[in-house]
Amino acid sequence: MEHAATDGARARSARPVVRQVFWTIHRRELVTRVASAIMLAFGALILFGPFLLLAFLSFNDSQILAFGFRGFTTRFYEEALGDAAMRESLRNSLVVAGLTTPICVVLGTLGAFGIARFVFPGRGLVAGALTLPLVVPSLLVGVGALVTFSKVDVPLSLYTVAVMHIVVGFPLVMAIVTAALFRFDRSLEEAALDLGATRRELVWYVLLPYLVPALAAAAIFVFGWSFNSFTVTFFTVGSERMFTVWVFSKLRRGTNLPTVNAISTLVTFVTVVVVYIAYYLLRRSAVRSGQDVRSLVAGGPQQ
Amino acid sequence: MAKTPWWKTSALAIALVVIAAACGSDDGGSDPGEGADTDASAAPAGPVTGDVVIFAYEDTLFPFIQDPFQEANPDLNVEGVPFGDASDTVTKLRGGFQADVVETCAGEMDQLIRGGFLQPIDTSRIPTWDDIYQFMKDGQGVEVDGEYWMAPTQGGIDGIVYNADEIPEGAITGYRTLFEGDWEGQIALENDSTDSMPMVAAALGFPSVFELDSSQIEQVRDYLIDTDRVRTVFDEDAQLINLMQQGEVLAVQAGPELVRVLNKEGGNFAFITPEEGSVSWVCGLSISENAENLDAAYAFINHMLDPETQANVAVELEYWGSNPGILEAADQKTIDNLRLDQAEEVVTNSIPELIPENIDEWEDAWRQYLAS
Repeated sequence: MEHAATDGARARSARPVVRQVFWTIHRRELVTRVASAIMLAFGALILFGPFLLLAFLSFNDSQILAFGFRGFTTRFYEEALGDAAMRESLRNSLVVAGLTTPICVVLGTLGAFGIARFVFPGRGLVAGALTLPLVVPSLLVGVGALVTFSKVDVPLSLYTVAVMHIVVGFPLVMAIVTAALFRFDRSLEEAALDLGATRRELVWYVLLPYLVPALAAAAIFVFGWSFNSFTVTFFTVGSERMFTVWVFSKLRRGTNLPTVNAISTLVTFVTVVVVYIAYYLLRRSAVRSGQDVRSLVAGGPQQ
Repeated sequence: MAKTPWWKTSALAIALVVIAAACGSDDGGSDPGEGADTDASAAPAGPVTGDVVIFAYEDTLFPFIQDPFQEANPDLNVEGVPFGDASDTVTKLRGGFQADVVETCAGEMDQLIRGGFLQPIDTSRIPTWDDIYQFMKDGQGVEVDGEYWMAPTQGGIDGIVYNADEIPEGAITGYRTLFEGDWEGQIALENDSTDSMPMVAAALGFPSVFELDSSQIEQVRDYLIDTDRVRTVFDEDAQLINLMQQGEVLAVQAGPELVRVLNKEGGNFAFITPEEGSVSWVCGLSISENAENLDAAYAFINHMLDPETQANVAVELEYWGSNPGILEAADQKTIDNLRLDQAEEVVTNSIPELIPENIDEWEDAWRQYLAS
């Protein structure tokens, strides 16, 4: 009885301490959450604020991109979409990016397998050489390509642009996929082979599903790079118009800025929607296959 | 017999293709294409045919210029390749890009001529050549060593544009007052040594603002570093327009067309011709050394020199034309707005834009200023 009374007294005297600890922990968590939210908001403002502002100003009925909202208008969008040179340039850029992306993904993945899975003399050197286009200044790449095409009498065209975009794009894919392959648990391959899978089945049913997030990320990067490339494009394109070259030449006259801003806003918006849809489809696929959804963000599961 | 590995076959095929391509190419100058003229004694008569590559600023490729030319030459395949910067032109031509007509301005003529990227103009193929304003034919790079290298088609002047709401009339009279006036940190400079440093040279009272010796260049550089009048250095017109509209910049060296753009948006800006003299510029068309269709090249040059075309350019782009016939073709409002009827008088009293012989020193000094 005496012990029970003592225990009860101890418990009663411990409640304020427990409450104090609880609120301390809760307060810390609250502070952490609020601080995280503020940091996230600040980061989002820095990253997306300028774009949102430009998007807002694209509807401002003024030839000058500045505050002082003079009225809502869509005329700059109409001007941009009514410009035949813009439409041609946008179409060409989409075609080139659409053509180069799958080729880069295939070549880059094959290169990644070669680097990640085979040990051979000079592997490091080969890996370094294959990623050189990523580190060499694009001006050198563009001018070098122009000189080369000129010397071998290859006329500049969308094909020459596509070739150079592939030259620069596939190392990007290779870098991303190589990183994913290095993280892959080889015991899964061994297990698959032990269970009777052929090499083809191993690749199709074990490796590729694992690589899908990395391949998707690589494809988005390459598409974005190709579409937004200016220097390499400028020096390797012929008389066909490309979007980035069109933008640059249009901006020579300051009065064209609102039109360029309008079409850029539209292109960015479409890009965001497309990327979100791609992410949504990947997420749905991951949920159905029981994969960790968070792995989609980093471009591949962490082992 | 053992099967040849696939990679050996592919390597051999690739090598054969490269060798065939190398053997098939000459030293870079392709055979003249269809429609090319080997008789350079007369202007092309009638529509021309074949292909023509026009390497020019975007505004020269606008439909209001290209469409009439295409209609007059329905069997000609016109390929317009735009560029945004003179350095792009030089680099791309240096890399072997093939063009027939190249749009040039005084600034890059020296590089293009010395680099062998252009060929002299045969003025006998330009019927309106003698009509062109002499002051434009006197522009730097137009005539070099007794030969003409550019058919001048456009010109203009740069003076001082200022915010008339903030700066009273008469407060700025020239470059000296621009740099010494009571507007600390409120002028802008273009990010180009040969555009901005002459302004300072004029403010310092140097007699020949495009021909500075090393000591004078250093003085200009040091003045720029020490001055607190400069708010920013801009690269594009669009950037400048926004800065002036927002009141960040009150004065800048620019052409009168900037005033019209700013005032259209409700601003109150004014243009003055500096007392030291305005800087005049001349641009035109040249023929590339590797041109393949000379007939079409000259046809386009003649099209750009036509008074009707020049009048349209004056209306749409607000550039002066080089053919006095523009005064007959353009409407009175355009003539008044651009002072087309005073072009000769204004430009004759201006400082023609030049590229200094010691341009490397200029560029070094400018970089040092930017780095400061």
